[in-house]
Amino acid sequence: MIEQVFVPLVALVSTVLALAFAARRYRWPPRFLATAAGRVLECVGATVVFCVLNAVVGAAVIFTARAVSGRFVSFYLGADHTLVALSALQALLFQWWRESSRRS
Amino acid sequence: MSGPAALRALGGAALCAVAACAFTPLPNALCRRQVAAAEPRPAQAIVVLGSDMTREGMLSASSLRRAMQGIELYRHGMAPWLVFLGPRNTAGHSQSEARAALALEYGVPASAILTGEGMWTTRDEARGVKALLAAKGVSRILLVTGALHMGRARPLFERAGFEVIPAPLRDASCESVGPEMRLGLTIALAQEYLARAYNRAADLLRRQDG
Repeated sequence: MIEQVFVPLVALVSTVLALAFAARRYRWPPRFLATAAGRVLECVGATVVFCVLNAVVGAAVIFTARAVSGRFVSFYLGADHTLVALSALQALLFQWWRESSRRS
Repeated sequence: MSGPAALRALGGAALCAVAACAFTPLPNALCRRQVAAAEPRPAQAIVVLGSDMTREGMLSASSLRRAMQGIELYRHGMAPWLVFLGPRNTAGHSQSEARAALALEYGVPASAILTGEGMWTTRDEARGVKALLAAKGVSRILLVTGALHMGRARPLFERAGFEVIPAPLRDASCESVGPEMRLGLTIALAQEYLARAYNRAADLLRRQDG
């Protein structure tokens, strides 16, 4: 049972602690939490878009490499988990770019 | 729907999917549906499919487990031929030869071992094994591969003309608990689903070309 709930429980407790700290110490209004959650969802959505884009580009690169070199290039190259982290970074970059463009 | 709203909807759906895969038994249930049951019975050859090896020539855990299962089946007298597959890497190390050397260490006679190189995909392996075993009149094989991979490998070997007796490894734990293990299982399942979809698309294109 502990294996099932340990990770979500840790994240829940640390989130509640951080929220309480920020609300007291910096007086951040709780009503903006929903907006912040929306932004997080936008970032996750953008990460999914970049994951798909990276998969398509990866497949194209693999097909091209196979055709040009005449050697076998495995699709498993594209199954590297690093691509998910890079997709998240790409999503953050584009989200912040969009935010900055909106403000200026 | 505006761009940001669409991204929020997509993000929400993605988070729900990740939560379902990490914190519920959904991947376990999907895994149980995919894993083929072992039905070992005597055949004419044991065929051990390729896996990975390091650049230095060390067999991966999966490659080693498959090889050991093949050796065990041979030692139990399940077939007179033991076929090891696995390509040669860019540094010149052959996976099939490394596995054959291992089998020799475990007492399998050299005369019973066959190796196949230059086959990079499961489809290539099915075709290559057909060519390798055709002269020996082998039609019934014990197929050794990963539990999740068996569902994709078996039809390819059957299409190549073999009667296939599955002898999958018990390497996919459908009983995984904990978010990290469940996500690992989800990724393995997703890779299998994608590979099957790719095979189907490739078959369709070939049929249209033909």
